[in-house]
Amino acid sequence: MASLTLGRYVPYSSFVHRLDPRQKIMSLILLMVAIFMPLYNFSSTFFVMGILFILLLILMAFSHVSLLSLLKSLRAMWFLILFLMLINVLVPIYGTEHIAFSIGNFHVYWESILQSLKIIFRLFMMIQVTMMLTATTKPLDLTYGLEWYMSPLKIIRFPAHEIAMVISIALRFIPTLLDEANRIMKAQASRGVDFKHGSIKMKFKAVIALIIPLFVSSFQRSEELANAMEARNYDPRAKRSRYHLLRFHFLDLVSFLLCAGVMSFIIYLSVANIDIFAQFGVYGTW
Amino acid sequence: MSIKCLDLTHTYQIKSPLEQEALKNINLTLEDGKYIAIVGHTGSGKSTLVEHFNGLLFPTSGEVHIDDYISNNKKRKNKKELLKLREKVGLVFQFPEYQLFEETVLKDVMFGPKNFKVDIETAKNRAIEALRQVGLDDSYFERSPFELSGGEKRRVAIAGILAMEPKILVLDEPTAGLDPLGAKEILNLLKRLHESGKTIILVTHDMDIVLNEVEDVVLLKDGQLIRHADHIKIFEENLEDLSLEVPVSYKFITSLNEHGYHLDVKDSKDVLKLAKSIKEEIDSWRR
Amino acid sequence: MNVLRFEHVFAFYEEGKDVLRDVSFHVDEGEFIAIIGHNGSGKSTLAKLSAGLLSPSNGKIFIYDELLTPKNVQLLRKHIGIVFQNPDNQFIGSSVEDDIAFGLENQNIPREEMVKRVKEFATLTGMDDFLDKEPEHLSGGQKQRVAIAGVLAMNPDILILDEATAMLDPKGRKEMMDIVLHMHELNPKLTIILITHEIEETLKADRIIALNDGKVFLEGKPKEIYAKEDTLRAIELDVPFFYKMKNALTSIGVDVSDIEDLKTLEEYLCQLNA
Repeated sequence: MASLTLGRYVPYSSFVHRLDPRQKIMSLILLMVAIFMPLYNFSSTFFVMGILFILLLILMAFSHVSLLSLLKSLRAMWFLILFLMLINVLVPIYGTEHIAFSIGNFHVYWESILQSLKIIFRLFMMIQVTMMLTATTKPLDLTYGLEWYMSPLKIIRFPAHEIAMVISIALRFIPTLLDEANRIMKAQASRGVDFKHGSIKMKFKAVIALIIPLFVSSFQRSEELANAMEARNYDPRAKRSRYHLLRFHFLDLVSFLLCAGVMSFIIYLSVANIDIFAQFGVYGTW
Repeated sequence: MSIKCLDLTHTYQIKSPLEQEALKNINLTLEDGKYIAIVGHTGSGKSTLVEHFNGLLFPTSGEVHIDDYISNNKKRKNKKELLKLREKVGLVFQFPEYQLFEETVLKDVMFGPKNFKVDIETAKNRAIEALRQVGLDDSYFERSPFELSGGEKRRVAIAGILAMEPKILVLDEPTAGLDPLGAKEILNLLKRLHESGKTIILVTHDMDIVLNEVEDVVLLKDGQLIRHADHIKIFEENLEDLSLEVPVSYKFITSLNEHGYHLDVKDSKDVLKLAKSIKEEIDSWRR
Repeated sequence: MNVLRFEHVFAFYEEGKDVLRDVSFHVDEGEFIAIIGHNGSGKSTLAKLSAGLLSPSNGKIFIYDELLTPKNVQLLRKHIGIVFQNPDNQFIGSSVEDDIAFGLENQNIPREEMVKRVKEFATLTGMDDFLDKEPEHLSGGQKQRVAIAGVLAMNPDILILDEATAMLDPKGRKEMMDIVLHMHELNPKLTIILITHEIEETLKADRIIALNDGKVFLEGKPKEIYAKEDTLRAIELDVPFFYKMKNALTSIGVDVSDIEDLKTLEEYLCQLNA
C-alpha cells in the first residue's frame, strides 16, 4: 500500500496548490529537461543538481509535501539502485582512471561509482518534481490540465475529451470500489474465507470470491452510470460548456518564468560545456 | 449461546486525524433464542456493533463475549477459534446478493459450509436444505445465481449463510431495496427460523418491522446504547428525535387511545380487528 | 396538453421476453402521477422508455405531442429529468458542485448561469454547505439530494423518480419527498412521475397507475385505486394504512365515506367520544 500513497494528493492550501495545473505540468516538463541535461563533469553536475535539489526541498516544505514519503520512494527503488550500481561497476565505460578498490584482478573505479550515483540522483529528483506535482494538484485538475494540452489534437480526431472524462470517472469511482471491495471481503470472511492465510489454492479461491462479485457489480454500475449520463444529455461529440475554470494568474506566470529560466540556464551550461569550478578558479576537478 | 458486550468501545482509524468513535461503552446482553432488532439512524453504529459479533471487528476497548469466545483488543486472530466463531454466528450483510460468485446456485450455497471444512456430501445436503428453507426448489439448484431476480438472489445469499448452520443469525437490513412482496417473504422466513429456535438479530431502521416482527429492541444513537427493551416499550422513546419514523398505524392507535379508545398496538397489522374494536367502543358510547 | 403519452407500447431487453405489453396511458401537464407495481412489473422500463434510454419494440411514445424517434431523442430528452435508484451510480462529478453542473455543461449553458443555478439548486435541496464535498464523504440521502438538484437545475418539464428513495433510510426518504413536493408547489407546471414501492408516498398523487406483468392493471385517483383492496392484493400490492382502515371500517358498517385522509379520520373518531 505504501507505493499507492506515494505522491497522492494532500489537500493543503499553499501557493503551489493554487497554481494552474497546466502551468504545473509545463513546469514539470521544463524541470525534467533541466535535470537530465548532461553537464561538463561530475563536479559540475553534482554542484548544479545539488543547488536545484535544495531549492526544490525548500519549495516542498512550503507546499507541505512530505519529505518522508519522498525518502520512502528510495526504498521502493532499492532494486533499481542495486542494478544500476552493478551494471556501472561491471561495465566501466565512463573512464578508468581512478581505482577505488580492487578485488584481485578486478578493479572498481571511482568513475563507475560516481556515474551510478549521478543517475540515481537524477531519478530521485525526477520523482521529487513529479511528487511536487501530484501531491499538490487534485487528480481531476491534472486531468483537466492534460486535456487542455491534448485539445489541439482534436483536429486529428484524437478523443481528448473522452479520455479526460474516462480518467475523471475512474478517479471518482476509486473510493467507491475500494469500499465495495472491503464490504465483499467482509461478507466472504463471514462465509469462512480467509484472505490472509491458507494454501495457494485456497488463496486463489478467496481472490475469485472477491473479484467476481466486484466485476459483476462494476458492470452493473457502469451500465447505470451510462444511463444516468445519457439521461442528463451527455453527448461526447456535442459542444459542452465548462463549470471548472482553469485560471492563469500572475503567480503562474512568475513560476513559469522561473522554471523556464532555470531550464535555460542549465541548457546554456550544458551546451557551452562550462566547467563551473573553473569559473571560480578551481581547475582539474573530475 | 448469548452475546455479552462489556464496556464495548470501537474507534475507527485511531490516532489519526480521521479518528471516529463509532461505539461508546456499550453494555448489553443478547439472550439466546430471541428475535432482536438493533435500531438506530444511519451512522449510529448498528453495523459496527454486529461486525463484532462474528469477529470481523475487535473492540478498541472493552470485551465482547460470544458464548465462550472472548473478543478484546489483546487477543487477535487465533485462526481456528475465529473460524469457529464465524460458523456459529452467521452474518448476512446489507445487499448480500453482491457476494454471489459461483456458477450455480447450489455451489454458491455450498461455498460457506465447505470453507468450514464440512465434507462435500454434507455441504450439499445442507445447501439443499437451506435453499428449501428460503423457498427455492430443485429447479433453481443448477441455475446461475446471476440470472435470478433481486429477491431470489437475496434468498440465495441468505441460504448461503443458513447452510453454515449458525446458532445465531445476524442480518443487516435484509429487506432494504426489496419490493413489499420480497420483503414479506424474507420476514416470514425469519419468523419461521426464529420459531424453530434460532436467535435472530436484525439491523434495521424500519420501525414497522420493530412493531410487528421482533421481540426485543436495542436502540442506538451516535454509538451509544439508548435503550434495550421490549419492542412495544421502545416506542416510549422519542423516536423522531433519533431520525426514526414511527409507523402511521402506531401513531393512529396511540392518538385514538388518548381520546378514550382502548386499542392494542399489537394489533396494528390486523386492521380489521382494530376496526372492530373501534366500532365496539363507538357503539358502547352511543348506548 | 399531454406531456407524455404511451400508445400501445411493447418493450423488451431480450427478444421474446416482453417486459411491457401493450401499455397505453397519458400524463397531463403539472400532474403528479405515482406508478406502483412489484419488481419485474415493468415500472423502471417505463422510465427508461420515457427518457429514450430504451426504444419500444412496438407502439409509440409522445413527448409534448411529438413522436419520440432516435432522431429527436436528444432534443426531447431535455423535457425529462430522471433520478435513479442507486445514489452512487448516478453521481458523475467528482464533487457536489461538479455533479450538479454536469447536466448544465452538457446543455452548453454559459458559466455564469451555471454558477447561479448550481448555487440555487444546492440551496433548494439543502446541499449548499457541501458544494466542494466528494461523494465518498456524503450519505446516501445526501447523494440523492445532489442527484435531484442536478436534474432540476436542467429545468425539466417532467421529473421522473425511478425508485429514487428505495435505498435510503426513513430520514433520507422523507427529505427527498419533501423536496419533490416543495418543487411541485413552487412550479405547478412541473409534471412528476413517481415510481415507488413506498405506498405511503403515493397518497398525495393526483393519479396512480398500477402495473402488473407488463400491463396497466389499474389506473385512477388514489381513493379509487385503494378502495379496490382485494384486487390490489391479488397482484401482491399493499394499501396505505389509511385506506386499509377506511375500507375495514366501511366493511363493518361505520360510515367514513367522505373522509379523505388519516388526520381527518383520526379527528372524526376522536370527537365521537366527546
